[in-house]
Amino acid sequence: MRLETEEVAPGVSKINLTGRLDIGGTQEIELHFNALAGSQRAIIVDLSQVDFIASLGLRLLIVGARTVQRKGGRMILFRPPIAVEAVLVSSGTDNVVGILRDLDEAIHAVSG
Amino acid sequence: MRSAADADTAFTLRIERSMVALAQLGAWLDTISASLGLDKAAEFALRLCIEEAAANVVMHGGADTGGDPGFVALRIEPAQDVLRVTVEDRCDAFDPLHVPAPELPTNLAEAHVGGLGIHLMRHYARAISYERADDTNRLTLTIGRGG
Repeated sequence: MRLETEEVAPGVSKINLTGRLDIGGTQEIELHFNALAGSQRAIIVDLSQVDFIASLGLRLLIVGARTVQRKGGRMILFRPPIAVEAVLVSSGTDNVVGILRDLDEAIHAVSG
Repeated sequence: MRSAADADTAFTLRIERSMVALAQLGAWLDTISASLGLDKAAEFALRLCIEEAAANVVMHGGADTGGDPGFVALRIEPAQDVLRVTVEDRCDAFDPLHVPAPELPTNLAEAHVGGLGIHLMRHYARAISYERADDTNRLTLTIGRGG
């Protein structure tokens, strides 16, 4: 599992994840991910290169989004592949963490 | 192409009940998926069901009658159209099929971050059954093989 960050707009971080958010993959990135959630106020999590997710990965995303929200910020999910989006929907994660597919829209959503 | 030998080949793994050991599952499932030539949907369903079932035992299994930390024994038996997955442990008796469906979250502040595993397994497995015998919990899942 790989985690990279880029600043896609002033104050807006995009976290690019690559690989599987399975148990092993989630363990590999969770410290780094949680640190970013704890220090940033506007986060776009790019899931376009994530080909698997299960409940540990969902937990990472939900806890991260909550951490950002508590600071008055916002985290959204960006371009999950269909199979990953199906898990986000089945688990109701999409009810509480927004999913967007357009980068400008995503930047606008987290910048508010 | 599926070979006739598939029906005779079962894959087994016994891991310690620990989060570190659970991280081994990914590579094990890579090997099985490649060996069986699973399509993406079947691989996804297999991976999800195995992960959730094993993680439930590790995270919520309670005491293990066989000693600390105990184990999770996994078996994947390929059949023509399905994969039969068996997950065994010797923790306290626990029938996950009697766990009520979770209420899906409606707001982030109150979203529960646990309890989704069984819900997701039900979604991705064609059938799930549970039995308790010989001080062992045995969860059996049937997963479509696709194709």
